[in-house]
Amino acid sequence: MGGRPDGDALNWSELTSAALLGTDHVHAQTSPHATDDSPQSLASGLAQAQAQAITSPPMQLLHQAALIRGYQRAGQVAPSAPHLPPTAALPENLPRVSPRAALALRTVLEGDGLLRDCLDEWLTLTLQHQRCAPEELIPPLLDVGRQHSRLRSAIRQAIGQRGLWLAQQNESWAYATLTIDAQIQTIVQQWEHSPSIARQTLFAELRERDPSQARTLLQATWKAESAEQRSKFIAGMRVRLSSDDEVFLEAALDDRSYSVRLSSAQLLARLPQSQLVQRMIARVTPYLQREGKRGLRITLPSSYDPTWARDGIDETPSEKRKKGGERAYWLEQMLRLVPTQHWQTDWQIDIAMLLKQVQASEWREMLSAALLDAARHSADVALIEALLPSLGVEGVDYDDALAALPAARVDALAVQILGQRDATIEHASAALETLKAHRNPWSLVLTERFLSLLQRDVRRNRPNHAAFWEARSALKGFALFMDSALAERTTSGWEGMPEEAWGFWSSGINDMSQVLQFRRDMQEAFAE
Amino acid sequence: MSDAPKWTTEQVLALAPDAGSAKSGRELGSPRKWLRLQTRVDLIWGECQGSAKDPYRTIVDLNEPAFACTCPSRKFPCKHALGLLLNWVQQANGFKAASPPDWVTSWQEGRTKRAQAKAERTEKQREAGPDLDASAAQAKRAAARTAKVNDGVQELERWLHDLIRGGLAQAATREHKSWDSMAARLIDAQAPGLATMVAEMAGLHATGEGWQSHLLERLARLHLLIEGYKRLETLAPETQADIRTLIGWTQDKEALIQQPGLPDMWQVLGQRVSDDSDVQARAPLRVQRTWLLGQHSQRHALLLSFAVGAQTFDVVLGVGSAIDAELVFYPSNYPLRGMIKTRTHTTTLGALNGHATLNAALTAYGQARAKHPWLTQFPMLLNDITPVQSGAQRYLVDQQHCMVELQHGFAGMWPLLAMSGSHPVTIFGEWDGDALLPLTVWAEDRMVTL
Repeated sequence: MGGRPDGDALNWSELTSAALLGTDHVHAQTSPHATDDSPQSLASGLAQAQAQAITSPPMQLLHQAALIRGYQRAGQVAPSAPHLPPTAALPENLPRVSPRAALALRTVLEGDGLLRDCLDEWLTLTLQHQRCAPEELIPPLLDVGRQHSRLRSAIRQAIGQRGLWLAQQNESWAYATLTIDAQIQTIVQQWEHSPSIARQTLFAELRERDPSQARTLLQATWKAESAEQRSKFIAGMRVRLSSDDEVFLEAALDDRSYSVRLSSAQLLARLPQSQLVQRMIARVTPYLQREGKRGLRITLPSSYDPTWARDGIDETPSEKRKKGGERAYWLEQMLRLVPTQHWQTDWQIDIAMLLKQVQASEWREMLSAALLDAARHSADVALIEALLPSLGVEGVDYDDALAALPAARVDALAVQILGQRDATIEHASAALETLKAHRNPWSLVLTERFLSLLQRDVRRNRPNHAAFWEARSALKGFALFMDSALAERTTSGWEGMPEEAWGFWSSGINDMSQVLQFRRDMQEAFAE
Repeated sequence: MSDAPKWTTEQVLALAPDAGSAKSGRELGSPRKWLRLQTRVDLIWGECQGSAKDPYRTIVDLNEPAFACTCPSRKFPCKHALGLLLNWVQQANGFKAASPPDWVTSWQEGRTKRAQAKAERTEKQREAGPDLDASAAQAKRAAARTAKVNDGVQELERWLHDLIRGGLAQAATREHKSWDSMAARLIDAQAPGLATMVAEMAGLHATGEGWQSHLLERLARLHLLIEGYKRLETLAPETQADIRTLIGWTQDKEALIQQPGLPDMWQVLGQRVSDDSDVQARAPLRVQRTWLLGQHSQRHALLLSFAVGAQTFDVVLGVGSAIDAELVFYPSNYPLRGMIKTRTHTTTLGALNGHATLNAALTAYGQARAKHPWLTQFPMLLNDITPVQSGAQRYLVDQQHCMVELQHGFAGMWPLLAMSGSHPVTIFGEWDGDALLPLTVWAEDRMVTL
């Protein structure tokens, strides 16, 4: 307690010391007395306590304690603050979200897993409508950003000036405090002192912002990295890849590690003007010969040329591949690294013809796989789509192919699949999972078709098999991307379902319904 | 609908008895959950399909507010009532104007009848005079209790003096048991207030620096109470009331509610629920403390509500609202604790007139302490105050650059800082003599409970 000087503080601390020891052990004379500073009332009170029929030392001590403390309490004064408060936050540039939207955010943040995932969309809506988050929810938002770096950029914007001000006061929110340039500077500073694993994250962050500076930094510590780390860094260069990266990647083709060489070659294959691509085209051309106007004859290389190794062409296939033969393996690797536009533009072969030739060939499987890989690297959407039907629906290749297509195409594909006779929702699961992985909203048509099929599948009450379990647990994840205009569809039309089927599906459908309705309400809250 | 009060979403949710109800209430705040939404004058009603065959029927009278619902939930207000009210607040035009159906009018009539019957009963009681037989038994019980308390107090005095003789250092080395047994003895003596005071001192020696000072202060406080009790009849009635309350006597609520109350527009400034284990019952007892400030009288009031286990509190008041009500105060030299006698309608808070500086607030505290030396929690409404966090220190700074510390247990520092941004705000909190516990903050046009 501050403010009051010494006299009574001394009295109080004398009393406390006496009390600590106990009146049996302390001489009566050390009991406190009024000082010159004390006002009349306290002085007389203390004197009275001394003189009165206070029958015992403990009673006297307690009496004095009660008097002095009561006096101090009644006269308490606030001390001066040690420092000035920090500089005030700047005013916001954007208005706050509506109360209803604020309530939606609270629901999302306080919710269990089900609605928590709607945070992405809430942030997107906030930014789209040019609003900012309510102040009291800034701390939990900042906490979310600590764990989820993907959301950081959106969170930074949504919390506005107040959020920037607040983040500066907490080390664990430092990520939110820096401008782009300052962020770059921080990364550069941290680079040298960070272990490899931390550098991967730094590299990824810097590559987004300033790809060439990222490359420069990497160059500085490149030699000290392990093969595994080097390989990962190369993979990281996929982000904002450009012809500026060619020199570095070309040099990496001389790396000791096969996976580094292969990764570098794959990246160079994405740069149609690169030396590697030119070399590869020259290399592969002898084995593919034009026949007639639009025909194609494919031969295999007779022997392995060691100079190929540098460009990522391996000599010995794995056990599994041996049945295709080594020679086919070599050609395949070459084909993977040639941009598919080359066949279409330079050679004037149209896709249909190319595919026909491939299907007719005895190495059609190998060729299809190679072309698909090449098509992914070249972002050749038309070719990928053309190749899709020949791929099995299960399988990494199929998923990779879908991942390379634009969202609208995947959506249309899913609609098509679901429109086929005897289609069930599992048939489209790869496409739907791709949309989900890339966080792409579904079209209205897709949503409508999916929900119809779902109802039909449930009504058919077929015995549960593994795919149904997966489908059921996927529903709430899909609900994050469905078109919320159809939220009503999830609550009606379930009457008269067979009991067994409903017992199995109901929790998944209820979750889906809850998410979709919440999203719709949330979107409406912003539209107000 | 001219006087229909303007509610906010936060106010509605503040009425929820627990977090689960608030969440469920929010879910039911969408018109799609309701089969029917209608209104007339200050009544709103609707039907909501639940898991039962027939939809639940929910009514809210916007005046007090008063709630009714056919669902089986024991919570009050139930999630349907909250949802209905949320709908009203967010989209009033979703309600169709209509004549109330039978089930609404019969509820209204029932309420009016009950209120009338209660008034008649009270009148009759007043006319009939006291029940003499009951009074005699009561007097006998009271005398018995007084005798027990006297014994208990005597023993407590001896115990206290022994403690001071031996010294606080020695007392700190004692086992918990020795404090507990004194507390138990006081419970047997029907002095539960004294028992709590003793029990709360038991662990003080372990609280770190300055414990000696805190312990001595509490012991002195206990001593003052004992001395006061020994001279009880010589003291003023209000002081007697304070002493008796502290020792553990409860006030006769029936008698109290007959007293004239103070009518005012009472602003609900803050609310806090604490889990106090009832020393007597050893059941988990929750205490809800609601702080009010009369807009015209500028009197503070504290309403206490109790709930055991999973019960919900009986008084429904949301922070940020103001109620037009008549309050009776428990007698005291510094009357704070009150009870609602009558209540008409609820509205939103008006202007908040708090202390302009910390020293003004502390002066008010000092004056209160002078009247009631045992005062523990003091309400403080502070205008133009800035929260600051500097390392481990957390405090509030006023326009004169004076400061007070915040209590250790305060868990809402980040939201408080976020609301302030180092700009001055208005805060309401509880002052314990050393530090403040903020409960509510107002910044610009928004209010947040902490």
